[in-house]
Amino acid sequence: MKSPVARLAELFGKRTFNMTRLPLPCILSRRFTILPTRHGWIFFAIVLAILFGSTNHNINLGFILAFLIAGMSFVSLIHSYRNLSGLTLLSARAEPVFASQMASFKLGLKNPGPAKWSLTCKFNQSENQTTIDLEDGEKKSITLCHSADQRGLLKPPAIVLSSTYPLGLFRLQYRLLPDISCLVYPAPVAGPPITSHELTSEDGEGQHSGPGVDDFSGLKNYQPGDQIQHLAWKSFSRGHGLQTKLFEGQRGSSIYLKLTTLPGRDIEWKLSRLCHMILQAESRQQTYGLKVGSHVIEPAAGGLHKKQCLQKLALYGREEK
Amino acid sequence: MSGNHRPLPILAVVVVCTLPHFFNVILWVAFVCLLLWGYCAGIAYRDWKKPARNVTRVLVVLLAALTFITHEGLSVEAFIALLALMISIRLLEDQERKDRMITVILCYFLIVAGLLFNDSIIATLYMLFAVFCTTTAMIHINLPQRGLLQASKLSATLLAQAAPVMLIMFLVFPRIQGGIWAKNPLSSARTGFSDEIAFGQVASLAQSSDVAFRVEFDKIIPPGNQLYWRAIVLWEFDGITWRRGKRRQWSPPSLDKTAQQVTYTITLEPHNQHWLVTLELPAELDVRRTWLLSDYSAYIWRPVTQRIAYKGTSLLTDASLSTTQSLARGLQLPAGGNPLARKLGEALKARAQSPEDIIGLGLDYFKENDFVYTTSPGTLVTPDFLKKNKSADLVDRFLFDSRRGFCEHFACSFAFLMRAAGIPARIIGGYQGGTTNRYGGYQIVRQSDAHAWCEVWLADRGWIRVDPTAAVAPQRILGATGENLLSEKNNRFWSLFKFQGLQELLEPLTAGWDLINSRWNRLVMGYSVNEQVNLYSRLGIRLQRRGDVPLRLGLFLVITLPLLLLIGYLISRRKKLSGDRTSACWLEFCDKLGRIDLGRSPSQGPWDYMNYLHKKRPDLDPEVHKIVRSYISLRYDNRIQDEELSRLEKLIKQFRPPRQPEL
Repeated sequence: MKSPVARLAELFGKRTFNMTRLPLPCILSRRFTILPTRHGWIFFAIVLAILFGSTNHNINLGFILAFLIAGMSFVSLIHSYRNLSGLTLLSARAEPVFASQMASFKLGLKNPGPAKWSLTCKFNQSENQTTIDLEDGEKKSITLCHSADQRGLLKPPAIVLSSTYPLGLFRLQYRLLPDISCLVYPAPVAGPPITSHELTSEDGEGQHSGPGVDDFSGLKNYQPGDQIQHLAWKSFSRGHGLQTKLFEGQRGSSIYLKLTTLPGRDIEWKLSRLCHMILQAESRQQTYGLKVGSHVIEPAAGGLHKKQCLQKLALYGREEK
Repeated sequence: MSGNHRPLPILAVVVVCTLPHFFNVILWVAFVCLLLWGYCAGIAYRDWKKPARNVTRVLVVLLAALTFITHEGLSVEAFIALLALMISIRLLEDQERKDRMITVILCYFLIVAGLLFNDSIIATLYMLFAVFCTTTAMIHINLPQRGLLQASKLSATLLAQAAPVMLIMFLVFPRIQGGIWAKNPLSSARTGFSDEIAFGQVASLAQSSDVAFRVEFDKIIPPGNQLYWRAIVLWEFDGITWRRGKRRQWSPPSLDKTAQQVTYTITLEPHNQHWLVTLELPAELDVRRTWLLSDYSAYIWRPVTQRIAYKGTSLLTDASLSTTQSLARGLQLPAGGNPLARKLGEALKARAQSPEDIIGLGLDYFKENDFVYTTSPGTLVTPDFLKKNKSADLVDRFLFDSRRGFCEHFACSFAFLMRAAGIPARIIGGYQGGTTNRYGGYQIVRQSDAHAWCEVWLADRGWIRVDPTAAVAPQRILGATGENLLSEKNNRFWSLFKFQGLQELLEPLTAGWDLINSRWNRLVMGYSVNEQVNLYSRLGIRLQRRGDVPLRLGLFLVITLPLLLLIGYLISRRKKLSGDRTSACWLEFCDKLGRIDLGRSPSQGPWDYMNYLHKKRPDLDPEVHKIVRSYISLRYDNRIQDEELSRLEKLIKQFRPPRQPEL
């Protein structure tokens, strides 16, 4: 049973901010909140004091001053509304990260109207914020970070765009909940070395496996598409033409990394181990495949392959949710 | 931004807001403020060391203590001194943005405190300037990247846009008559006189050209020598001081209804006393809670701490009918002292055939015995002498020894003589004369026009005015020679520079300036409950002068809220985008959809966008199709038709997509 206050807050929150994720682009127009800042409260206390004193002593100049600065703060509200309105959030992208790293979202902002001043962007309930100015018609991208605690698809909280322009007495605030996400891979966990036998044990078809997977085995002539890391620069310098080094483990080896071969029950730990192994295999330029649950990725190598494998790990058991 | 950001704009604001207070605060406060500012400038320009936090803390305590010691109680002056000192010390501290912000906000307090002492036009303009500076600093703190020039432009814009809000609120904000609680006079230092005269104790008249009050006559303007402005009436003399006396008679004065009446409006500057000024014999006063005493002096229930305007009606006659009940008071003399003066009075009585004769002989005594009118006669006796001897025979000393004095001396000693001769007499303190403003058609009476004269009682005529000063120095009375003391003094001043004509050259200017000031005082500074009621009655709303607070508040809200909305709408209206009309239409179309979260992404062309909208909101199809087709034909078809363009503009104007599909 929730407390009535919590209920009310929930209701109010839902009413004020329609918290369905919106497709990009988002234009800042309505649905803003405007609240006095701490200095705003002090300012209003002073205006009230002046007004009270003026009423009591019938000082007309006091009235004039109080109404002038009150009117100014009112007008500043409109200026701050005009300052932010029309701003468009065009795009938001985030490169995948490993769990417990910071996911950085790159937000593309476009300012169609007049210059926008001291726009502060941050994620809701997040400490780190970025403040930028946008010239008339300028497009700028800013980077906001959010911690990625768990593997999966990180859906960041609402983006809060606010400004205290021009007097610093009010904070005009928009909350955007765009439909953006960031892929979070499991955090790689190093562990005891696992023999290739174990890795591929299920089928027992170890075609060509054995120690020294990265042993140098020879040179072949360069073909477009060969990995740059494997170019034999030394022989190139000797004038033998561009050649590619060949490694033992690379040829015909089809290691399958499998969830089931790992000991233990903690699935998250296993995924982390697999993640680590993928990274290691990738750094050794080894070909590897992945079998996770019903998904099978044929052995291959390269950045794209790595990404596919890691994505499988990240979304294992989280898909269709 | 950073800690080493120079706080110079804030220093400038503090200086601007504090400077006018230098006239009001004690000297040492001003001096310390100057030192602190100098050090602050030194930090900014010469890289002087910032004082440690402990040093500034000790300084705060020290200066606060010093302020409380040197001021009596919690006066406004003490408050201002404290505020100015604390703000100045804050400048020395290493300040974050938020601290600087508070410093600037506090400056508004300093500005308003300055208004308690001065509400002239100049002060108002200075106030506006100070508000402008303060707001500029606030914007600069908030947006340091924009620079001071941009900040001041924005500040000017804000002020200009706030002006109508201020004006309307000023007019309709519910005013409360008499304030919320009883008030003390805000400042103690006001010119004007108290309601007693210490005989011969004033060495020289302080000649202040401050305005005491302004008068506007309705129809008849009495001649200058009839302009005797009554403020206080003194009955009792103890040998040193003339006082009003304890027994105040509240019975309304009797009036000779046949005499000619003049009506006038007096705008009285504050003097922190209870008396009101009237033309010599007031018959009626149109002020609330005022008492017209039987000696024609008028008193208001609370001190005049702010400028008030009131209508009066006076009789143009120098004699007033009066009851005889106060005659005994008019003959009161101290038990002993001044034997020569008493003897002289008795001698006058013996020589005269009628009471009128006694008065004539008394005045003759002043005329024939080389009495000199001077504004700086010196004291008759030293204060130490007065302390030792209870009765110092002051009147004797004046009448037979020094014979130099100003109106007070003549009036007081003449009244003593008359009483000694058995004729009831009293002393009137007030003002005499006034200068006519050539543009405004009103009279200005200044503090330098202060005057004292006598009234004596004759059985058949009642109390009649006798001005002994006029017997000695007729030029002192305005209207006799057309000169008053101020112009004499000024002429003396200008003659130093051999520029006697300059004052006459400047006279139109000063007169015009005073006219502006008086209109300002009447219309702006004098705006209060009555004026507000009149304003509403012009709009057809009848209000009581008192009460009706909910109604007033309601009216205030009803008038201001739509106005605020209107102003908000006018300011927030977006400027039409430049460029061709077709793309303006398209942008508006996308913008309208963007506001319901159906914005066009940059990668979508018109056709893609239409398909996207069809998927999302098929209910909008008919309108969307029309608009997109029209736009495409306008954009990509060379045969541009004006009709088509206006059709598109109309379509877009009418296009109001609902947030949710209509069922």
